[in-house]
Amino acid sequence: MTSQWQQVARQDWSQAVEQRSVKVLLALPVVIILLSAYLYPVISQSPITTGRFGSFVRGLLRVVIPIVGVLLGYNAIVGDFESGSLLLMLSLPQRRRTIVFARYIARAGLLIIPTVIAVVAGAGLVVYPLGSFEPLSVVMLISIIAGFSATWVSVGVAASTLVATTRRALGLGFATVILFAIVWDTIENVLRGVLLSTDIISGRLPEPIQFVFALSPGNAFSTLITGFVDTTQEVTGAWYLSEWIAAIVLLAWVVGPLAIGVFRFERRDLQ
Amino acid sequence: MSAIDARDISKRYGTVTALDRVSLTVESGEIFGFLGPNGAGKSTFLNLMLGFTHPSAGSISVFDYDCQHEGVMARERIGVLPEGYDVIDHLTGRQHIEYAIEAKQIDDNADPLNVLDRVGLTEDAGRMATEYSKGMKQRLVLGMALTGEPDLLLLDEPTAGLDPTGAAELRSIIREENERGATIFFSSHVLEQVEAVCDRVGILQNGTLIAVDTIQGLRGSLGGGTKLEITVDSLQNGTLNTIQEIEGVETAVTPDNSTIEATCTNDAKMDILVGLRDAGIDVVNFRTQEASLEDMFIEYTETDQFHNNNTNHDNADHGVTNASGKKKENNHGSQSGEQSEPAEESTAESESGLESGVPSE
Repeated sequence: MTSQWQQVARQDWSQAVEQRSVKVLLALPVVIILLSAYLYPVISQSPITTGRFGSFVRGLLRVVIPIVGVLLGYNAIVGDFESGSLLLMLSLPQRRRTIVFARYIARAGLLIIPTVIAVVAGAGLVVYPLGSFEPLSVVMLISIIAGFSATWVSVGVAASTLVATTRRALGLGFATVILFAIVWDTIENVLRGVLLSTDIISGRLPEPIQFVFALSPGNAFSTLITGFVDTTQEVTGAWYLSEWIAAIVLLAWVVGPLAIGVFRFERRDLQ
Repeated sequence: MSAIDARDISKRYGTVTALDRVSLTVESGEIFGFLGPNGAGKSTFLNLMLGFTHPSAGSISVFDYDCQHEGVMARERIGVLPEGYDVIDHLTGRQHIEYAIEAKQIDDNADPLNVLDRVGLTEDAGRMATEYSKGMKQRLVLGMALTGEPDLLLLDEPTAGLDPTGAAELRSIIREENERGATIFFSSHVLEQVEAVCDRVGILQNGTLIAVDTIQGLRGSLGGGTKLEITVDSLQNGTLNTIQEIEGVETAVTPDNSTIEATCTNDAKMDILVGLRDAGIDVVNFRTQEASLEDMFIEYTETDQFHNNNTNHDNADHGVTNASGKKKENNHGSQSGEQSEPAEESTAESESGLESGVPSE
């Protein structure tokens, strides 16, 4: 006998993979990873390594994965809430949080599995015929991309548990993407520009302020790739700017939104 | 141990009171009908029982499991046909039953086809449930409810979408389940269904439980309860008043220009016909019927409304209720021990459109 969450996850997975929109969505990060892996040895200076490929593909993934993750997650709960099939499931002896967790796992898996396969295949393209293979960097890259994907599906699913319509869930999800993927870095650049031009700082922002900006999922993702994947670079600065702290930050982004979503969803009136 | 035990349960949405201090006990093995017009608070009550909604005050338990804090344990004993559901995307009919089997964690490898056979869906078992008609979906979810022989069947408007054959089959399933030992609680505004199978009924109006009694008890409390329908060649001014003045007549209305509908005691029937002849009106046809639950139900709820509003908006078109005072007394007379508050105390805010106007957040 399978446990309840596996049953919910299986159902969610199988209905999602049949949708064309989901396939198109998942093709996006896969194509980007493979295309980058194909172009990277052609347009980059040597040394061509799987480690440096991490830094090469990072910029595009910082934009694409948040969008795809939120689009995969935002419908997870609120769609069935609107249609009424959520009521049918909850009239059975199932907990609300079981359904949220199961759907999260199904949808995070939906993004992570093809992405991981693409990274492995991409590593092949990087290595053959001129590049050098660094097994540890590939494993780390896979883990970090998986964590970053898990973060944004978490944001999407959390949005889905917090509001009553799919439209609002989409709005909330994208507001988060825009804030942390676009506005966040813009604020950092503007602040730095202002402080530089008024000679308050020379060079980088003070480290405590750097730390505040490092708290976004995208910056944690970048720091992790610099620290763990790309052997030609290293993370500099105070201990709280290190890649280990970035790992904790990213983990908090995986757990945090989902925990808030589940907490609110468990206490909400569904009718 | 009671199957359902609600104690002073209230639910407010903002300033709107959907349920006002409802206390109700349903004993194990009963078939209980839960009646009320749309918006009376029936669904709110069921939602509280299923843990979809949290009460503002009071508590409700199913087989001694608190529906808020031990919801999963309570629902393990309940088979539910909820209202406003939809079937699950991408699952066939058979997979729905399998879903219910797994969710209820039924150990012995139960065969979904047994249940599908009972609700008449064997042939469509392999089709996607999203392609089903409304009636088939209703049967399917009834099948999910029956899965695992629950101790309590909770059916919210179960006849919605069913054709007459389906409704008859539903009644026989309800009786079978009851004979097996299950308690049945079902809500409806289609009263014939309730009348046909229920041991006891509760009537909910504006969030307040205004009566809990057996069908016979309700009938008894409403006087003779004979309904007389008379077709005449033409009506004259004052005809209604003539009839209303006859002793034993409770109500008389004229739905159209050639029909009189009167409720009266059994003895007054002939007096009405004689009275019409004396007034010079030709009686073309007449028939009598025992008051159905529907009549009683309308009488209960309209009397209540009449009383609360102090205006009879139906007065101009449909004649006069000359016995509203008397029926108010009847209301009180029919209150059984489990009843909470008299109708007069239902709050003014709770008057209209509760369920439809309720925000979902």
